[in-house]
Amino acid sequence: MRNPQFNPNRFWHLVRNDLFSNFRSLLIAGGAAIGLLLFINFFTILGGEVFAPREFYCLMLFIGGYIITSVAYNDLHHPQKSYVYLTLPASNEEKFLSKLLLTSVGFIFAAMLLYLVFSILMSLVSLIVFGESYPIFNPLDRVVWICNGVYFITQSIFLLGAVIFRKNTLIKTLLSLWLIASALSIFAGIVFRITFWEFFDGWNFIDNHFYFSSVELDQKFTDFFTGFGKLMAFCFKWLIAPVLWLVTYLRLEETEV
Amino acid sequence: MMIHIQDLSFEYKPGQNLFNNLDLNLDPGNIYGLLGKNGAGKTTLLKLIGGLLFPHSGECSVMDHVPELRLPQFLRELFFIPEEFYLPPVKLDEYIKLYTPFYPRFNRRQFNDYRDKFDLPDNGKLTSLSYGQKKKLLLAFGLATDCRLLILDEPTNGLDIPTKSQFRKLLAGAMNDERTFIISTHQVRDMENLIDPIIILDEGHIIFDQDLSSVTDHLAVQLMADLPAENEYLYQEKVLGGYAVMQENTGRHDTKIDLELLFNAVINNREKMAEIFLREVENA
Repeated sequence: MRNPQFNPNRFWHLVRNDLFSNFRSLLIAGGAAIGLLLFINFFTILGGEVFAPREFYCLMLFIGGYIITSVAYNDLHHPQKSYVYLTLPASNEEKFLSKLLLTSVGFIFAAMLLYLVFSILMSLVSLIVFGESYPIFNPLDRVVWICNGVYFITQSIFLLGAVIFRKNTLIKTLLSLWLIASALSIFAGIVFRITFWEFFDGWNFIDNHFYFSSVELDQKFTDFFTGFGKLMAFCFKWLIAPVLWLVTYLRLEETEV
Repeated sequence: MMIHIQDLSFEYKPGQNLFNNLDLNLDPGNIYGLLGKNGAGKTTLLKLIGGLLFPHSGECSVMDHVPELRLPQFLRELFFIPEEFYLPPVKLDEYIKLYTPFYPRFNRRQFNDYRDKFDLPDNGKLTSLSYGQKKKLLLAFGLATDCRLLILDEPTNGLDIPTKSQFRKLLAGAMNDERTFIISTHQVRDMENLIDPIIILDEGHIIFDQDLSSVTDHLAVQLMADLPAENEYLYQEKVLGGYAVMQENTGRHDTKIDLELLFNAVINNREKMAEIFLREVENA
């Protein structure tokens, strides 16, 4: 087992390199996001609706972030670029952390800044054209930070997809997610059916019998599902992202051209 | 030792071994020529040395590093120019700014010198350069990094005749006792007077690994009007005015060895060649 290699100076240069080499795709994604927002906002105003900057921000964060994250390791899958990327004198740890930083925290702050500027501009334009101002995006809003947190965790799925899949990364990641979710649902359904067999008639669940058979039983189920829910919340908050980041790093480490 | 490979095995598909128990040792201070037919495994071997492919078994040590770990201290001593390469759509100055921080001994003055010798533009977008110019730029950059191991896969592909000559001069001039250059090619004539020792790879096996002085000690090439008896030569090729004949150098005559002839002789007469050079080892 070797020691992790991290040099702050080299890491900074790598971040700069990554940012520069992905600048075009960032520009395209940023332009597309602004275009989409302008389009939506225009019709929102025309329809007399109240502009909801918070919700639009979350939409932009998730869609834009997942797209950007999905292309983060494009160089790794390109026949010629992969030589440059893999022989660039930086450690695997630095190469992983650079992408992680840019697609998670980096993207969140860039999105907030971009959206704040956009929101101010839109408010000014609205004031001049329609005579009424927009509500300006508040980056300190609690909901905004909940969105940021959820994005920070879920982007790990797309970062893993980026390092695994060579082409059509976003679609393949979404498809894989759907397949995994479906498999887990089926598995959970089968376990539920076997465990609570007495509350089933064939494959039909006898709902009222389940809930009202006895108070004691009802409490047991409530406790079980509450505990299960807490466990799931814990896994989502603290386990999913670190585990997927670790798998991403290991996959990067074992990548060959 | 610069590169130490022992019992290395590698396969792209299960059951189809490209390398099986491959052994190879390369010393610093040489420009190695890695020759072989298409599909012989040259590029694969270079990728294994560069940490871009991982051996399935055996040992591969490069500058006392395990290449597959791709540690920064290993990578900054390596510059790999593949046959098909990529240059980002940036200006030359930006390229220098982006990549030189990773090579602590990069010498800008030396780079400018190589750039001038290769007749490359001072600045401008890299994507506007021709294929040959891009290759020259990469080579100039690679040499200026002062890396200890320079790997060049088919470097003369796409270069015009004056550039090939310039390429040979620059490479020979940049060599020192600390460095090793490995040049893989199937265009052996382009590498004449540059590569030494010669390594010939065929179907995943190293069938020849000799320096040129050993080659000239053991082999001689003569132009003959008529072909001698078949058991008196190792290889022959019809040329203008007769036959270029490669024979065992029993009289220790000093003749110039044509690399292409040598390559063809080794490929076509593998056992006999091995026998001649093995005899020397046994006698020693």
